[in-house]
Amino acid sequence: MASSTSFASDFAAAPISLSRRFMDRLVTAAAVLAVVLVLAPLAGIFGYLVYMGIGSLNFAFFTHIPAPPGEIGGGMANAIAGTVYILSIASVAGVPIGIGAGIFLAEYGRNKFGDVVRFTADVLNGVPSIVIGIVAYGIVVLTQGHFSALAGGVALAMMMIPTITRTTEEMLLLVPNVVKEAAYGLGVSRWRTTLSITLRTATSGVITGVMLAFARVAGETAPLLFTTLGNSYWNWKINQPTAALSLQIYTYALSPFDDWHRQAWAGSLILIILIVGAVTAVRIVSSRGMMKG
Amino acid sequence: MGVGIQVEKLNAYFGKTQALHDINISIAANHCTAVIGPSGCGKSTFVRCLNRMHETIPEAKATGRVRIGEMDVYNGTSATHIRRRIGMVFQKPNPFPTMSIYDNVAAGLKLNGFRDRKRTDEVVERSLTYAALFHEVKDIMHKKSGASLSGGQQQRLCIARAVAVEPQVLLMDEPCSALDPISTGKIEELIFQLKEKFTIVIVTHNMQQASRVAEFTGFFLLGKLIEFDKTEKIFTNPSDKRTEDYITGRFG
Repeated sequence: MASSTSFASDFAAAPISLSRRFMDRLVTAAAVLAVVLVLAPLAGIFGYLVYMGIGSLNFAFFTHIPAPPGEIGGGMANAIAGTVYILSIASVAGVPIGIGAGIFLAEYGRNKFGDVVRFTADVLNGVPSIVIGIVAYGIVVLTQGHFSALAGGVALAMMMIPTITRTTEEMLLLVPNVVKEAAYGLGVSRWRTTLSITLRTATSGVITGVMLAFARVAGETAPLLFTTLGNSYWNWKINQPTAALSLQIYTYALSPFDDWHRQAWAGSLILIILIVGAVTAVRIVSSRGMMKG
Repeated sequence: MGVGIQVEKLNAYFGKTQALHDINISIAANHCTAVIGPSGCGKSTFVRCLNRMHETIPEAKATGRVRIGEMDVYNGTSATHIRRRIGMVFQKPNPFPTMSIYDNVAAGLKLNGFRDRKRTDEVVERSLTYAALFHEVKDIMHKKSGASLSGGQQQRLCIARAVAVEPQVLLMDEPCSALDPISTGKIEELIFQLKEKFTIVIVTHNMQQASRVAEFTGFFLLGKLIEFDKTEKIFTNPSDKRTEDYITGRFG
């Protein structure tokens, strides 16, 4: 015993060697550098958008539809509304299917069929967005006979589903088995346990997945080119071509008019603010009523 | 009131591995029965067979006859129905982390479709009182999560949650193995009071604990019930050599 005590006190009293202190500093510095590298592009993009776009933001930008080519003024009101509209359609279609498939994989997917679904979701996740657009064109636009908000929503939903499915599955699998057993032990049925206990415990993780998917598709342009097409006027009909911020930015940025270029910058700024705003709002709402340890 | 448990020729399997061999045992109502034995001897599997928790593990199955009061556990009654009448407390405290203390206790009622709020309030208060936790949490039970309590409090919360659905039997699977001596003492004290209302079966690694809380003790070894008798007899004058070896610390 005596020898081990003296070892312990020697150990505690021994100075930490220079090389270890150097290593400690080095690794800390590397971690800080990594954070900076991650945040710098985001801050840079946002800063540049504010710099370029804020000058063109005015009341008319939010209330007016685009001015005819060559005329100064006008706004992107219809595109802002259109983006919100199309994203709503995509979320209404994509979120329940994505979460449902995630629940299936986590609870009943330990078999061949589950592996097939998982593989399919991963492949779908890697399909270029323009290809998704063409698929939505094939299934919705060609059958309906015209471009529509619905077709855009379907295309974006198809992009959201695999991300939501895989993150939901991962998050549900993180819920400790002892928590599910507690519910089974109370005589709660399996489906009820899955919905009221497992999914509820994993809520914040599932929402992160939904928000990742949402943010990813919110700025998509390629799948909308073939589906919603864009529109210079107001449209609220689900089966008609609809304006979207990303399409409007694309059109304006390629145009020869300076005023349109400025509006494209402003539109980009608004698009980013919309996405950040939506993600933040969902976080705040979903954290209400949730208990934190 | 508690009810007695009769087990006849109970066999349990994990896939092809047999975990329990022909268990026959008769557990008395409103008493505490301890199940002891070395690690991996099938103690936990045995109590998990009593409320059909065993079969929630993939590829696990059980055969034989288990009667709890008038219920035939493996014949004609659904697993969820059985688990509502047989409460269970687990080794590791497992409150529902996203629910308040109140909601944790009310979970068994709410999730099984009970909606009367006033009755729920009464049941929660009574259950927390049973578990000797009410005074410690009465001011925070709506605000704080079940996971915010200390380990010992969490385990008493789990006991309150289990008794809230008014089971006839309470199964405890090493309820104190994750707790400090003071919390353990509190839970043991509780077991004495809970016996008046429930039949208790407790799995324990701790032989002193078995002798303190249980009137009857069963000794398991390698999936077989070696000896089952009054606790006093098991610890002072066991009939089987293997029981004696175990309680005198020769193995285990």
